[in-house]
Amino acid sequence: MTGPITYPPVYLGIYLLLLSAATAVMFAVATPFTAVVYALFWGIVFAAGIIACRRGREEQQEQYRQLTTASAVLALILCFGSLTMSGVETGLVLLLLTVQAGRNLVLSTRRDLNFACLISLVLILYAAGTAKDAYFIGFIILYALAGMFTFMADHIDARLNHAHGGDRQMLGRGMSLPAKGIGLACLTLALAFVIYLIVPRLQSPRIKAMPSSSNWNYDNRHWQTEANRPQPNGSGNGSENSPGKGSGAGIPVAPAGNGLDVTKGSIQVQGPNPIVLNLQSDRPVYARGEVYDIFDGLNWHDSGTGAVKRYHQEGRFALGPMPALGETLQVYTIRHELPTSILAAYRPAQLAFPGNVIETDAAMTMRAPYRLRTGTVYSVLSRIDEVARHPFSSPPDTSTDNERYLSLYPGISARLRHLADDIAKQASGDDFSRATAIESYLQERYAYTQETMMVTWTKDPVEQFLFDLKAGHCELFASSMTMLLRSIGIPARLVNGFYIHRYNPVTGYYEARASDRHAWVEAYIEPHGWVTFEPTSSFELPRRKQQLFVASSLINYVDENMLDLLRQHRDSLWVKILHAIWLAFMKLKIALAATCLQLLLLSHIILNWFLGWGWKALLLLSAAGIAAWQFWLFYEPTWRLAKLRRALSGDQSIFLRLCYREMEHFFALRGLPRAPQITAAEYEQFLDRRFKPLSGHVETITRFFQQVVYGTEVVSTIQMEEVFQAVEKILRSKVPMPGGTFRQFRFWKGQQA
Amino acid sequence: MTERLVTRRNILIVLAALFFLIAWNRDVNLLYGMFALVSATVIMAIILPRFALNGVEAVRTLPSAAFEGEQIEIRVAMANTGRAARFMLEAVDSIPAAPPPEREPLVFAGRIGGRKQRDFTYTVTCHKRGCYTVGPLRLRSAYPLGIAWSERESDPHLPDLLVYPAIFRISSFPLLATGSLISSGMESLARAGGSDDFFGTREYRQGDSLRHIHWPSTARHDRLIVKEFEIRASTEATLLLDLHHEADAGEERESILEYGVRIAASIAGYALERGHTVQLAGFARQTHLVPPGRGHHHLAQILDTLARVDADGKIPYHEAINRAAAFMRDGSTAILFFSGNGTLQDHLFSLGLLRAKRLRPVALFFDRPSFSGGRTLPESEDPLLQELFAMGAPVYVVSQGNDLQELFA
Repeated sequence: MTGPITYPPVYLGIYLLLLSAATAVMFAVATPFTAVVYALFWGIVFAAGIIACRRGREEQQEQYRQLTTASAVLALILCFGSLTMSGVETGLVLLLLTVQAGRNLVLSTRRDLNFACLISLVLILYAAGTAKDAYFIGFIILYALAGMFTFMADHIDARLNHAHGGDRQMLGRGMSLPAKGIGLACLTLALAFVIYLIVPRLQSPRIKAMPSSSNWNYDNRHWQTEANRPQPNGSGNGSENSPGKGSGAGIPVAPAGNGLDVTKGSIQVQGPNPIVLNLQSDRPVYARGEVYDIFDGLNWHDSGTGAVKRYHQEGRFALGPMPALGETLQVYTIRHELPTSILAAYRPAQLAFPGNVIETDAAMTMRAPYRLRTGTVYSVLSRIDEVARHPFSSPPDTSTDNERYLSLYPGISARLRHLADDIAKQASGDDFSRATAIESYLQERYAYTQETMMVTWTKDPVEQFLFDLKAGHCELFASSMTMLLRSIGIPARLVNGFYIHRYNPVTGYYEARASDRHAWVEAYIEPHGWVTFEPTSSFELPRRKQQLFVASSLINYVDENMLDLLRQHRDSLWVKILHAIWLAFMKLKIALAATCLQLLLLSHIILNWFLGWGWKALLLLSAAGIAAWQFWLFYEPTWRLAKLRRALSGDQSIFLRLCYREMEHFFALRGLPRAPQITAAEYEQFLDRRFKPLSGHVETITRFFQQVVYGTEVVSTIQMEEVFQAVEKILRSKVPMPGGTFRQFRFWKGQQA
Repeated sequence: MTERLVTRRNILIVLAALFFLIAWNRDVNLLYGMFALVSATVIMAIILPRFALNGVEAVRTLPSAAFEGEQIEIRVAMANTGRAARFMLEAVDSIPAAPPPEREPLVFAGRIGGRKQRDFTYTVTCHKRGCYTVGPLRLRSAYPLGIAWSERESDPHLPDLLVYPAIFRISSFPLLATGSLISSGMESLARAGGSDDFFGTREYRQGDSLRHIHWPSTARHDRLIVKEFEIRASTEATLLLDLHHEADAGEERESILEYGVRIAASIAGYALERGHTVQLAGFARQTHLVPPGRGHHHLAQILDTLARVDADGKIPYHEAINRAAAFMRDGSTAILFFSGNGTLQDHLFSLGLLRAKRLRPVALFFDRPSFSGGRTLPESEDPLLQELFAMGAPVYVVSQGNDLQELFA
């Protein structure tokens, strides 16, 4: 544990470990440019420390120790400074990095190595828990490879310290590792990938996952005053748990936002399509932003009815009945600045937000005092029930003011009303069926497109969409359905938010891009309450898909990204090459399928043959084979003895040599071949140790063999007969025959060479 | 031997489990990735060493005998019978004759190509005399990460290594008739066991025995010429070791038995070099007896016996003296090794017996407390020592840490 480090690659391994961990942390918490700068800085600091440690002389050791102590003090100062400036996590990361930078100066024992490994492990663990991008897996792989390199170098270092002989000189000279590093790395990564794929992803218990909120402070004194709830623990008159009921709980505010122009749509992505937020959840969700109830034919507005400010000192807001276990927990991480709407799946029950005051309204829209900044993390617990795959809020909202949700825009045509009536007539009597009929009508007969920029809109874009264009973006679909529902007396509203369905199986987070902005419909249907509908064609309502293994998600993810990429570069050369390869692959696949089919056919024929009379033939053949083998086993000694018996009448020297060779062959097959340098007497001793019951016979054979080879005395006929009997006893003995003995035999031969 | 619990392998397994639990609880797939990487690393670290040992054999050759303190060269041949190269293999031997920290010497092969053989040599100092069984030679590998080990025995051959006791140079030792004495009446001629070697001729002097007249020279010179003989009053010395199981004290090389064996070997070497007859006796669990003899071959026999003796006998030293006196020739020298374990009362009879047989004792008296870590008594307080002095026997007092060469200078 405290042995000195003498092998230079160990230092390189430590450096790579620390650098990969530090870089990973930087990329996890900072923007790429800043991360590169920080990583370079720490890379230089670590390198300088380790080089100084390697080249430092004895007299400098004391100076380095003082520097290490100074760095520890600096680390504490930085840590406390960061605690107040940037938060606990940043402070602790700085503490670890600075402490290790100092310790690099006195890095000399295996204990220091283990300490460095521990520091780097904590850093990478923190980074892995914080990172939201798929490319981060690259840092983890780099870290693992650096770890393997370090372990390997440390292993060699330990061998160099302990070995009495061998390749000490060769290894001590340079940096060469006696291992196939690249092959090993590839093998390990391949195995890790297989494990990653086959590890089941069980339902997560999410212990201590709620509440989770951090990074920014959204406290607002004016809103706090408006909320008139200065109680530190959020307790008071209970208004926080009964939104929209008044009782002095909050102060109504004016309608929020500038409205939504249905002709423009919410997806206006020009250029890159960045990830705007990450969601950690066990299912895809419709994250509601704004809810609109008033439509003037062109724009949607939110009346803001029932808006109240809610206060809680720690930012823990109870928005509905206390949720039971198994509710959908969502942890949102904002990656790009967003409007003030706090996104959440309907219906939010609890919110943990990094601010002490928020605004909610009767439609359960939540707003923060400021725009949601990059890095904001908040968590929501929503209760999501489903009726015929449509999410709905439960229990129904008894305070719903349905009048607002039934109003039609001025000048709505009778054609639209007739259309609604016609669709509704085809459905059964209840509201849910009529609503789903309208949803299906829109989904099946209208096309989704974002190419509506060049359309010249009339004063009634909804009717233009329904009767003329028959294609449009999601706002047109949602507005049309809302109006159709309202025209047949079903309260409805338009919801704008994010359709969060892109699951990244590498990180485990859902990713919402700017292009994932979406609009959909909520209709109030008894006895369910507000039910979510998706009228836009090519969209489908998010459903919980519990997948035990990540492979299918991974394939889908790669598929989606590849398709996106191909769509963007459909005219480029490499896409054409890929297309050609794909075609070739498909042809190959078809050929393979055909071959498999033929093989299947053949196997069927064989199976039929086997079930007919084939099994009898096979059984007969097997029995014959076994019998032949047993016959051979039984008669082999007899055959060998017959050979010896013939030799018995000839030259006694040849006979005894043959006997001895038979004995050698017998024991060589049983794991004790005679090495050339071993004398007959030594061999006899070995055999005596291993095969005690046969020792007498071995002794007899060896004695007469030596007598005839080295001695001058003539062996009598009686003695030769005695030898023959000894050989017979040995050959007929039941000594088991282990495997792999010939290899050893060959090795002894090699030894002699 | 209990296996260590806190090993790198166990730590990594615990880490993998921890990563899995965190990943499962927080549903963070990157942590699943870390779990997969750590698990893969552990699996590779466990599987690869087994593969590395597959098809590899090793044999070791070493000398069959050496002297205590001598460095011996051990050769280890490692052969790879497989097609693929093997990396980072170790052959660990067991050499009980080596000093305690070096008893499991390790030879490390960075790489052995497919169907190739490599030879390595290393040296080991023979720490303590004795007869040792070397081996078994074990092959092991933790390729490539040093996290998990795979090990198996390779060479079934368990050779013996005989380590002779170290011999130091003795300048003088009071063996009777050391050096040459001319028969000029300085020593009685009629000594049983004495042997006469022809020394030369000289003129007859009055008092010379007529039996020694050399008649051919007398006739040639026409005056009386007598033969002169080199006389050894006694040329036989018996080394009698105390091998009673309670006689030994001290640890390893610094024990009474080891000191005694070294001294016995050195005295035997000294005596045989000067043409004396030496015999060795010791009563352990089995009786060690090397009959009287001379020459280098005899020294080898004595060293061989001394290498194997152990203090595991049940016969007290005074009883051993009584028994050994039976085969000591009258008038010879008895070199006695008193381990400080018996009292004067125990030894009175045996000392008397020696005197009766006109045996000349030379006593090596071991200061037992110095070996066992107790208080050293002044020499004058030990009655046995006083008795030996009174007998006129040369006595050497040996304490732990003494420079033996200086003691016998």
